[in-house]
Amino acid sequence: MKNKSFFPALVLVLVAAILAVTGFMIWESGNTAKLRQIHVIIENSNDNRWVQFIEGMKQAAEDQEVILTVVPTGHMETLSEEEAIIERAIANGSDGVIIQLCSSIDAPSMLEKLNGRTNIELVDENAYEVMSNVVGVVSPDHRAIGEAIAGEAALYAPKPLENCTIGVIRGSSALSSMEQRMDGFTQKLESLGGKTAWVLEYMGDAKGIREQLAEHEAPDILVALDNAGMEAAGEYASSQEKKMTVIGSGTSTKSIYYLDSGVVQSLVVPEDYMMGYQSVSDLADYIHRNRFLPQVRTIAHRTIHKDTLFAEENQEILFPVQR
Amino acid sequence: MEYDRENPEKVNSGLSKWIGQAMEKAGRLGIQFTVLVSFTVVSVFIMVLLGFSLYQRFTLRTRAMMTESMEQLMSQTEANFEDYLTAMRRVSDAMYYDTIKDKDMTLDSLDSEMSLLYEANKDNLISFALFKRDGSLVCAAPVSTMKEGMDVRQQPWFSLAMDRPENLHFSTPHVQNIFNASTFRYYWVISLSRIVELTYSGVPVRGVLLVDMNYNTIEEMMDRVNGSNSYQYFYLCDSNGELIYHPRMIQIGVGKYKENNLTASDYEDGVHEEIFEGERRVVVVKTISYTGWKLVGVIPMSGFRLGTVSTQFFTFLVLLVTILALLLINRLVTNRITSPILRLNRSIQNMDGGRVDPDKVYIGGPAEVENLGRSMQGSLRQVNELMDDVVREQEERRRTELDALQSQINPHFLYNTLDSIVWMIEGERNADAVFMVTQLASLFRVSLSKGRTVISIKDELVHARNYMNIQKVRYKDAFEVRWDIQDEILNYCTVKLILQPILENAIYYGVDALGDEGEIVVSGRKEGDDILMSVRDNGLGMPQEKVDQILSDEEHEERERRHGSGVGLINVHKRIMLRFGPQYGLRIESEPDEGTEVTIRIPAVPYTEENRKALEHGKWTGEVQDEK
Repeated sequence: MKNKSFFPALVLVLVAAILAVTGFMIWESGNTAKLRQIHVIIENSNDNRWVQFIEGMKQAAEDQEVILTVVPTGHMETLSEEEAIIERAIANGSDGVIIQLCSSIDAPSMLEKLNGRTNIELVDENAYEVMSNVVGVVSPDHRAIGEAIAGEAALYAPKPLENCTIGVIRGSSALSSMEQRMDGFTQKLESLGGKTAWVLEYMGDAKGIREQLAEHEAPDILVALDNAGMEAAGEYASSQEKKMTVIGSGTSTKSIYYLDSGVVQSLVVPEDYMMGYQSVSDLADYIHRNRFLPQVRTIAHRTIHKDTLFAEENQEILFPVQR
Repeated sequence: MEYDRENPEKVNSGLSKWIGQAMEKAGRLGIQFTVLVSFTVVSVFIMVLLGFSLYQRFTLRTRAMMTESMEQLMSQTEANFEDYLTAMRRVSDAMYYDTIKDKDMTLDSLDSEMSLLYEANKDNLISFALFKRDGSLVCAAPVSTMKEGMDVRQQPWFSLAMDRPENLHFSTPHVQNIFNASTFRYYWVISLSRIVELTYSGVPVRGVLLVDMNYNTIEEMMDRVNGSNSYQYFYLCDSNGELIYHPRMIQIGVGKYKENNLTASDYEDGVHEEIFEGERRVVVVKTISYTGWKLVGVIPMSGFRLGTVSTQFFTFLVLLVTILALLLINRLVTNRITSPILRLNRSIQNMDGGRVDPDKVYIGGPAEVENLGRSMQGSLRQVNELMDDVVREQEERRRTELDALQSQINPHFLYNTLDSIVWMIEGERNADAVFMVTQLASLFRVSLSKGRTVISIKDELVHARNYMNIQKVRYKDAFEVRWDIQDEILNYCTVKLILQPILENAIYYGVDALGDEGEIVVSGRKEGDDILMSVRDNGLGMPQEKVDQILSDEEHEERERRHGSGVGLINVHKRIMLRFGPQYGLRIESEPDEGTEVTIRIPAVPYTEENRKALEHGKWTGEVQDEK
């Protein structure tokens, strides 16, 4: 009796195991056949400042085997515009969205609405109040960048810092990232004895900043807190007869060109390649493993001068080979 | 089982014991189970062994194929590189030998020739430039102005050309940074530099010719070979191990990925195995001529094996299906092998419990089992015949014994009767003697009964009356005999001559000593399915101990030895039991000075020829066959 029941039991166990493995393989093949899709929503997606960031994302997408779609965008005036784009991405079956906020105001409520509908990775934004409803955050330390710019301004000041007129071009105050840079810059500058003569704020692109610059006397030190401002500052400085010190943050080829041509003395460059690579890696990892482990990563930044512009360690980051 | 280092023999003996126990246990589990398990274990073992061998073979074959394929691909890529680099060298040669050497720089300009050559090769070139040995620019195409403050003598390609003038030099990739990038564009280039001889007013002066090759061309060539297989990849490094191309160039630059390029640059051309970052991999190296660059192909060992999860699961699935198939096939084969044996076993299962019909023994299956069945059948036939012989012998012995018991009566009786007749003749009591002889003749007629041992009760009573008549004459009617017999019992079977020995004992040991007061009552009746016949006397009787001894075997042997009283009773008792069974026989009741009653109990078997024959041959089953 014992023997009689042993064989059918063994056969049953084997059949069950075969069914289980087959089921798993079918599930696995269905799972792998469908590549996960990540949408990237950044302001002015074709802007040259994103080249390094997008290259980093492409490499990570290749490594993580996800489809990467950089949604073509222009200047986004309001957060609701950005939200509409995110909604379209979700409707198109996005498994995760990488967002660079166009405004930090009302961002928490927008992220709250999106929470649970897709996976969200925030880039270039590390304000505490907007981070709670996202999977992860990858951002440079904006305050530290601001401080580094102030330090460079002091270093390249044509005369004692307290005697220098310092003009600042900054991005929208609606962005907490920009606020942090500004805070960091101002506090550090003041600690070094400097003081800003004027601050120009632009919204969207920096084209309109030229008219505003024309309204002011050329400063001794012109500071740009972001890439668009840096391009405008370089253009402005190269068109002025007065020799001025230009310091700022930027990543685009144009910004680098102004450093290379001597118009800009120092450039603080966040490692956007790593920001792109890390954001896609973290999000893809979350999507593949369905593992909720919010990561808040801070990427490094480098201070580049003309003499170190083509140094081997900087070439790969500043001039990524575009594929 | 834990290994005992101190005492390996103990372990061996333990293992042998364990194997022995397992075999014993398997033996108890039945032949089918044992064969099935043995088949399955052996086949799974062979399958695993075979699978492992095939897997090893597959791995080696895959490795050979992948390596071969990689070598072919690398040979093709190497040829492409050499074509490209040769073309670049030719461009440089053309510029130098066809243009620069023919010109006197004081008088002639190189701009148009340089621009023409650039235009002809601009797909692969970024720029041409010619420098004097002091670093000043002679001419360049397409951009003709250098960056302010640029000192090309600090550039590695310049110093290399100056240091080793006999060669052409290929740099590692770098961003070109000597010309004004008015278009806000920067290019990755590989600089091909060489020493050239410039002529100024007939005086030769050293200079450096720079050809900046477009890095994109090399990158595209490498991307093409890298795009085909996800396991393997290729990279390019110079003879010092400096990376020229790697699919993860930027990640290596920022320290997120590592490559064994410094070691690989020392490898000879061919296939190598290495362990890098804990991973075994095969590395194929080809050196590109003239440049000394190494084209390196990397295949991680996992690429040869069952690398992906799906392949591993597929292998596991195949393994499970194979085990299941083996089990089912083994079960089928086992059934086919063991089924005839099991059927044979079932057919002889009750052999030890009694008689088995040889014709029911299973004959079939394979020749061996069929032979076994036939042997078993033959043996059973022989056993049955032997058993029949034993039964026959026993029956014969019983008959012989019965005859012997019966014959023990006749000498007693004959002796006593003849003694009485002699006594009568001597006393001239002729009429009595005639009566006695007549009674004796009747008695012998019944005794003989044509050799039958079973007769009707009626005949038995005739025999008893004849005997009592003879004895009454002998004893001069000293005792009375009363017959109280129910007529219905007369036609039932009885063993013959069972009353006479009892009557004889009643006379000799009962009433003989009483003188004229002796009385013997013979009664017979039917009680249920039995017939009871009794002989009661009013003689001396006997104590219970004596009664108990009369029918015991020991006492019988003693009496036989002494020819004492009671020999007839025990004979009668045994004959009845032998014929009808142990529940039948005699029962003796006696009281000293009161008398003795001996009761015969036999089954009520109607006296028919069939019943008689059945009783005669000992085949009486206890079932009564009535006269109908």
